[in-house]
Amino acid sequence: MKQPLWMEKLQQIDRKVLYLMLILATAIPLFIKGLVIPVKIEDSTGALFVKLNSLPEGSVVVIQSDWTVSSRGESAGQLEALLRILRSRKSKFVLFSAADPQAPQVARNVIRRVNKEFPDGGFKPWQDYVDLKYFPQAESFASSMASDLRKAWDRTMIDPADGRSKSVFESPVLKGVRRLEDLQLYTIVTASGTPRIVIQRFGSPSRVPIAALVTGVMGPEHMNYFAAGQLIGMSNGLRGVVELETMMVEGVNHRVDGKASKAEYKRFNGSIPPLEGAQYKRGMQYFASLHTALIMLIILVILGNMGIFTKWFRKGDA
Amino acid sequence: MGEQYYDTGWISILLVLLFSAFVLFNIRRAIASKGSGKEVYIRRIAGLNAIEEAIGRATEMGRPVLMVPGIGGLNAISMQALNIFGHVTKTAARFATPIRLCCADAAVYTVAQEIISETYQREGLSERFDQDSVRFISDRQFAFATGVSGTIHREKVAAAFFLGEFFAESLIFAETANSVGAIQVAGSTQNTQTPFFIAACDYVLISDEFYAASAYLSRQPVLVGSLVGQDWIKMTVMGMILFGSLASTFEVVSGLKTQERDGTQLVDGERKSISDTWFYHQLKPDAPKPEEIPQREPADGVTEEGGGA
Amino acid sequence: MNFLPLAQAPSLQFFQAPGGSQQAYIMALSAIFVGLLLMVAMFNTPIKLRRPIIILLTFLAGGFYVLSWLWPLPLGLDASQKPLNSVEAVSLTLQDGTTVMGKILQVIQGILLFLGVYSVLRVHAGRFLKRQKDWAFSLVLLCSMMAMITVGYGEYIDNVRSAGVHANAESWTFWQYGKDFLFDGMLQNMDAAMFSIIAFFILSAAYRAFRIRSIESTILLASALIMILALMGLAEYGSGQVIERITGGDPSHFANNFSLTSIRLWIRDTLQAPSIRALEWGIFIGGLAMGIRLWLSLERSGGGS
Repeated sequence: MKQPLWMEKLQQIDRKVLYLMLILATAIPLFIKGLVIPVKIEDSTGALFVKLNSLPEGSVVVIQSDWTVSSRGESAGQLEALLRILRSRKSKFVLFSAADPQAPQVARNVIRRVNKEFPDGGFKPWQDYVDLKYFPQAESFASSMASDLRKAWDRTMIDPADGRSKSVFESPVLKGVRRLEDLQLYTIVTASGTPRIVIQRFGSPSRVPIAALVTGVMGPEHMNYFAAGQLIGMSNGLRGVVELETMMVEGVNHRVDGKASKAEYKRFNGSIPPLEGAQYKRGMQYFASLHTALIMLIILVILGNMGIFTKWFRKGDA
Repeated sequence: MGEQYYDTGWISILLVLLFSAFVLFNIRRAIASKGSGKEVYIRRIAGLNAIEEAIGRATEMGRPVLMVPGIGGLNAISMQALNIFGHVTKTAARFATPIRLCCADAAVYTVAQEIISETYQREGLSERFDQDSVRFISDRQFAFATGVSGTIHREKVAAAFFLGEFFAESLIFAETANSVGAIQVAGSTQNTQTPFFIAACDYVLISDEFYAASAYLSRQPVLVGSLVGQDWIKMTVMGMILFGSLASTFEVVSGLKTQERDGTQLVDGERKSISDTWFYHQLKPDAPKPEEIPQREPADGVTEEGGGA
Repeated sequence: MNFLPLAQAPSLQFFQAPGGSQQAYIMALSAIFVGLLLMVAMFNTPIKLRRPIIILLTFLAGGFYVLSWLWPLPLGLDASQKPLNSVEAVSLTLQDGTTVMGKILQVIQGILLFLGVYSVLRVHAGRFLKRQKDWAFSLVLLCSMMAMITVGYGEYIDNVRSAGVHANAESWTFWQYGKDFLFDGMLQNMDAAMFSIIAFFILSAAYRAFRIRSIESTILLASALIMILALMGLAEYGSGQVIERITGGDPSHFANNFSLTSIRLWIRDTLQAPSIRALEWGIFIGGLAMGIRLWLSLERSGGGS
């Protein structure tokens, strides 16, 4: 039986119309401020947050930032959330990239942006973090770190105190660091498969806990490493950012006046209070756009199948 | 000295050596049995059967065939892609169909030039080889994506082969080629990109079908033998998985006390992802025993440490 | 007795001349001369001999990486520590060798990039000069390329000469503004724009592909819809609330299995994760076999037999 014309049209919407609808669906929610959408905490994100919140003061964390502006929507939020938590723990960090020469500059821009939020100026180069820039050949670099950290990180940086260029190992950040075991956590913010390289080269079990903050596309692949215990925690895409922000604002398993916590992580028996001055930021701002885009996708898939649905119903009538 | 092997995982080295031996043994076996009439059966791979159909269509329409070997550097993956493109070019050369091979890596581009020109020479059709048909576009991911999309649009390619290491640009290529009505055969070693290809392409080579392609197309004994070796490896791996599952089941049924590994330390937990069993210590003799593990101290703000992930 | 060299940096670094020095120029010219000599020698080698030479070189180069992977690695070595024995010394030598090999590869890549750039110039300059179809695009490409090369190189030279004076925007010159405009202002944003196009393509591809044609496609569609719904925090939260009302908060209630979270986790952990593992295995095994064939030069490329 021939389908009515309108139904045929619904199954063949021009792609330009679809694109226009998507622009509207993603752009409009960006103008609505202060929207808070509840989210369930994934085990992987919960584990990452708990680990970050158990870092002792002055601990040294590695941030391997392997993303560029193209995945800014997800990765910028991941790095921002990570930096805010590290600041609350008074941790220091080592920054570098092993995936893209453009990546260090993009990460520096994020640090500059996050630093503006803190009255004391936030992370100070040399004192609170060292920037090792870009290392080509991720595989041999990871092997080199596993074997001899000092040789792998053989870089210099300007000490602001006297304006002289010195080895990064003279900085307050890396002064006591000689090998992987001296680092409290190795985090990788990435839009590609670099965590796999690090996991492979550091051996299993790794001598430093590894955590990954990956884009949504890379999430399923890395979930295997989390399930195997090779990643101690993982934040997956934009949803991961929202979960981290929720835990920062609401705390973890943190009850107020006996009410159930808005961020429950059932595998964790303890509780973590909200971070001082924490607010919903970039993650939550984009989350509404994700919702509208996905709702649109569902509606379009249903419209695309309208013809088949009506055929089924007609068969049922007959 | 010995313990260093434990650190780097001697078991993985042993397995890789064993797997390599499987491949080499079967290559040798295939070469030895060449001409004996014992053909190895390789199951049908739809995407590869479509090569002739796609090129035939391009010839009829008088439009070019596009080939992209991914954006990775010169490695086993791009070499395999170029091997397949050699076969595609062979057919295209016979039909006098124009080709476009776009590269994102200068080394891949150089090798591709050699392979393609050699293919034309071998077919005795050197005069049909256009040097500009193999092109370097850019080594920046999205500049390359833009360049290839532009080529697809401007030249209205009739068939597109996307085989190799593709990342985020995969869907850009596939949708653009779809919009000009090209037949598409795709395959990526990046599993995250396979769903995008499946959604937008006509034929997709999944996982190791990509590596089986040249054996399927050429039936060279070396390649076919290697394929048999790969099957042996898969069977060994399946056996190991079965053994692991049984061992794990035994562990659960017998009520062995297990502990969870949280980074570098062992903590009590319900999950049994990495267990502290006899087997575990046979494979990892250097792993700390439970009694050697220092008690973790709760950090500020953390009231009680539970089973992490 | 240890006959093997220790992995200490030698006091005389023959291959490391200060940049811009006379020694560096002499070494660069010598390297070009030796390279040319080798090229001439290779061209004059009988064709029958060429293949064995290439096979040997491939084997040696590949063998180096195989050995550096197989050889035990001393872990957590301190900068002040010397290798304990010859095994560690060999390992460190191999590692240092990997760095050298990496640099050689970078140099080769650099030379090959010239060939790539030459290809771009030939294709587009040819199209522009012959006024072929779409020559205007080629002209834009050529102009952009020249602008980027000029500004990039100018900025680099300016920075080297001024020794980091231009760190602050107040002291920027034409070159820094040029680089900021072309690189940060245009290239980076165009990169991001191209990436965002994927969102549009996902939508159109999903609209076209997610059609109920067979049982398989119906299963695919159903699981995709569940995963899409579960990505939305609000939908997942809502489904959790509904299930909680049904179960009354009892965690052992059978209805808990039907919350969006449970179904999503079941699909992810039971179907998706093992499938990905299996596919990864296939790819790694294929890659291993291909690697062995290339290393031992067992196959001819391009479909030759």
